[in-house]
Amino acid sequence: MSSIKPLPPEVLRRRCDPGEFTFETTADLDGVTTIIGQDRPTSAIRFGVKMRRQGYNIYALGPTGLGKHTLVRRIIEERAAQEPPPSDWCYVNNFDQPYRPRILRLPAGRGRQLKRDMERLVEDMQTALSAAFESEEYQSRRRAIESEFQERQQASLMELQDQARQRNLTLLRTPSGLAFAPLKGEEVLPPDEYEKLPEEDQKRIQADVEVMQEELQKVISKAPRWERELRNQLRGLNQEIASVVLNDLINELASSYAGMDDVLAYLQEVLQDVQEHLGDFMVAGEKQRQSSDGDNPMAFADTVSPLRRYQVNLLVDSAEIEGAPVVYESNPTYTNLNGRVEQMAQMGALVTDFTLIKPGSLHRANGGYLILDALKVLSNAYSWEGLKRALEFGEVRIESVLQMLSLTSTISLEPEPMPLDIKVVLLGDRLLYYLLSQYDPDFNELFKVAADFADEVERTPETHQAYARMLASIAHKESLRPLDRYAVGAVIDHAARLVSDSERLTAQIQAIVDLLQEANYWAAESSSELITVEHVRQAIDAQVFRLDRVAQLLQSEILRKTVHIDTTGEMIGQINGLSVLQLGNYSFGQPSRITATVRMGRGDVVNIEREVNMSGPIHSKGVLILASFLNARYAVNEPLALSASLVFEQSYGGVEGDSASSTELYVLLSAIGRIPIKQSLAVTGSVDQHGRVQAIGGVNEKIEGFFDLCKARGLTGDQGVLIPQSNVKNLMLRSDVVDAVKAGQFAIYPISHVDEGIEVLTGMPAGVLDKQGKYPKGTVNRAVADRLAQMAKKRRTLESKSRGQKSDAPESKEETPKLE
Amino acid sequence: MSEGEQASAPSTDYILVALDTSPYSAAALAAAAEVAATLNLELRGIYVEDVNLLHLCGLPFGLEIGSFTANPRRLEQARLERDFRLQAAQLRRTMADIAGRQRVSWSFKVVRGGVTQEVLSAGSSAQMVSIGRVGTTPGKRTGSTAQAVVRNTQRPVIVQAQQSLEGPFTVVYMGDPSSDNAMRLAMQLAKQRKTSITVMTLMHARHQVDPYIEEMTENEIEHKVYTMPQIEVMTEILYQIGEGAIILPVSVATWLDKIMVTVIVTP
Repeated sequence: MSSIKPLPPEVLRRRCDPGEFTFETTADLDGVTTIIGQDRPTSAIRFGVKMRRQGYNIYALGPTGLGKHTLVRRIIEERAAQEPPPSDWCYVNNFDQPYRPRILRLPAGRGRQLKRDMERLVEDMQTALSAAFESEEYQSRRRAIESEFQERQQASLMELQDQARQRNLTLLRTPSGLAFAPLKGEEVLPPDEYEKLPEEDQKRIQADVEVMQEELQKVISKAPRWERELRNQLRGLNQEIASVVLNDLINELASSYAGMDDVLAYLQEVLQDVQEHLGDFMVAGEKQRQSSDGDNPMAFADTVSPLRRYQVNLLVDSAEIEGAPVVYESNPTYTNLNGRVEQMAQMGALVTDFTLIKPGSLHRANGGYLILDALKVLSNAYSWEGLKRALEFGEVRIESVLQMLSLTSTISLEPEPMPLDIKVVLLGDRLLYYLLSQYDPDFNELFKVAADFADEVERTPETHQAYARMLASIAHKESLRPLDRYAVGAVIDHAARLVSDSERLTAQIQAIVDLLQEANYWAAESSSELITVEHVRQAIDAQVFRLDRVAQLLQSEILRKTVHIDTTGEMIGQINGLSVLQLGNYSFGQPSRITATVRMGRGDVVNIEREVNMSGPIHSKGVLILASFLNARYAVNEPLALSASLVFEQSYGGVEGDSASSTELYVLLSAIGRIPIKQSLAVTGSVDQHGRVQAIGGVNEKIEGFFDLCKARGLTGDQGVLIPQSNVKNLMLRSDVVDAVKAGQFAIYPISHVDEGIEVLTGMPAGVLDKQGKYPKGTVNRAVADRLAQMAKKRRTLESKSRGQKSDAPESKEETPKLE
Repeated sequence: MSEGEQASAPSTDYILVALDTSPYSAAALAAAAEVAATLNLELRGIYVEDVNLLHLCGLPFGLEIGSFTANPRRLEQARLERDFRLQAAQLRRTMADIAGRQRVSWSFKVVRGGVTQEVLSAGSSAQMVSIGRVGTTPGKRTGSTAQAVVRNTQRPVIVQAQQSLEGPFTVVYMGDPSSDNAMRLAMQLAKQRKTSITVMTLMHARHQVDPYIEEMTENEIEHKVYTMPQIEVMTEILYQIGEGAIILPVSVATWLDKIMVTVIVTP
């Protein structure tokens, strides 16, 4: 009988004792958001947040569901609340270069005021300028200038008229000009009478007319200069009158922005521009009147007022923000991050100006914190490039993607960039972090703080308490029913099962949130005020039920004997291995029949899976290790004279992992030593060259997979699973397995060496070398060694016969057999 | 014939408007249409193809100098006649439009001849004549045609500045019969248009204004009377007036040239 004892039921599932808790239900706890076991990322985030140097942005790495966002947000919000509110940012017109709008920075709340003030200023200017230009003084001075011009023109023409009269000519207006004609009395001399004049008179008249025409040309050619002078004089008058009004208005406004040099400079530019465009105010006033009369047929065509350029585009309004801003951008497209310049249709064309500049989340978060999902940033075209550029240069430059790629040359805006003082936090998984770190040289410069979130936490009485508080906070936040303390224990047990470790708990908060929500559903279904153990169990069972169709299908094929797995009896060269299949988020154990055959050969172990490229590299490595073990143990003095074949029977999808290497070793020993193996047992565990059995993954699923099959066929009491001793701490088995063990219907054997395993499997001792270097009779090792010796002898005999028959043949180079 | 256009009939119940393409002429047309509507008169337009220009075409030195470019161009009769036709057609359309808006009956006539003679001839039987202040005579504040019509007609003449004809009306009362005509016309227009009258007179004629004051009071016409010490003071004030219209007796029609607003001269 084997000396290896099955594990007692209490180590198969470490239960959380509800007696540890002093509360009755989670409603008794405070419900404050708690995140446990994340000291490392917490400290990293706190460091990153306080480190106000370029490049100290944060990458929070870890799989989704760990509560990264919650933790990051909580730490940042705590910090942001102590920081000053951000500035207001406005875009205003650049009067010198309208395509390059200027950016103004104002203390929080003053941007809104400037916007209002400028609207009021424009209204006041319109009113005051209208009044000024309608004033008696202005009108009479204007009339004086205009009449001076007219008189000057008239005087020149009158003078010409007088000169013409002296020559008996008159000045006439033709449809498009002026002409001189000789007079007869008050009428023009008719042509026929002209013809009758003596030639001398005709010549004189013609000469006079030509002289006068030249004079007229001189006078007319002066007219544009006079008109220019008139315009200049009128402009001077307009500016003189306007400046009285405007200086007063602007100075009054400027007094409330004392100390803000940019704003004061802008107001001076406004003053200068208004003086240069006084006409716009009159036109705007006229349009306003027309539109209020409802009598403006062109209103639809031209809706953009030239006075629009005095507006203020309040890009970031921080008037109502307390502390530094914390912005989470859920859709980080290029434009959502960097802002954009919109366009509007006017007369069938698209036009734009500084009022159509829209902020991105970088603008809104300036002076504070921006949280982004790394994958979303990377999967949105050019977002990553845009974000890096902004962080690298410390400014946000609004330009379209087409502009950035130099693919467009249409007129657009190049707004002055906004200086950036921001802390960006990227949330993403580890793979992305390492890929970026490896392949993007900018990444390490810009995201110097890694906040690495743990997947699991230590399971201690303290963490049980912390976990309970966390469950209370989830229930509170998600508006779920309170959990009673037994349910809390059940959830904690499940949290350990999720990481397949009785000494750890999962940090995948999202999985726990999902479980609580589903348990809450079942509680509601049963009209319970509390979430109890029963509801938690129902939720877990329902989760499994929703996903285990394939597992059930495979099991039914075994039960129908389509797939051969024996769970009773004994057999030489056949053993039950255990594998884990993962489909999406659900994994389950699956028994596999592994067989071995031996024949005389040169010491090679043929891995049939590998021969057909269905063996992964780790599996192949495991087979080579076990071959090496065989050589080391049994072929120290003479070469192995066998060839063995190993195969996963009825496996059509390939094999990977080394968790079956101990199993394969057992079946090989059985085949060599012709010792039957109990088919009521299944085995998992990898093996090293010295025969030590090593830990594997998915131990719970593997055990449960074999248990389910045995249970379906009826538990015999002989059935069980051999697992590595080092996996005992990972046991968090289902209650029904534990119950079966407790009832003596099923057994779990902890194995630390193959000699222990083979004893359990065969019921025969493994055997230890005696002083003569031989294994005792009646042991597995003796049977194996004897068989190998027998085969070696037979082979030698055969080889010598063969040499006798072929004495002329050259000596074989493969005299010494070797293992692959 | 357009809607509202009448075949010219031997009637005196009409107002004649002399038309050319200057902005003053357009204002004269608008004013005439308003007066026609106010006094229930027919509106008759006349466009004169200036025979002087046609004569000039036949002369070897018949050049016109472009009023903007100052470039000389040969004045050709065919082109001139085409320009006349185009102008006449445009004026006819303008007239149809303005008369239509005022809902007055109207007619339009094109004649060829001397402008002054033709306007005087056509206006001889009219109730009133309306003419733009500056027409085809360059360099004058009041055109030669306007001056000649004012001097020679027996009818009140509206000499239209660029703005439209509107109140208040300022009447110059010198005590002569044409001043009485001016007062009566002013009262007629002010009553219809519900506007006020300012009478400017001299010491010697002041007492003759009294009956009109009574009549204006009876007719509820708002009025003021200013008696000037000297004629120079009166002209100085008249030349400064910038709104409304001034009604002058023909005896002082020479003041017309320095007045800025629309003037109606009564015979």
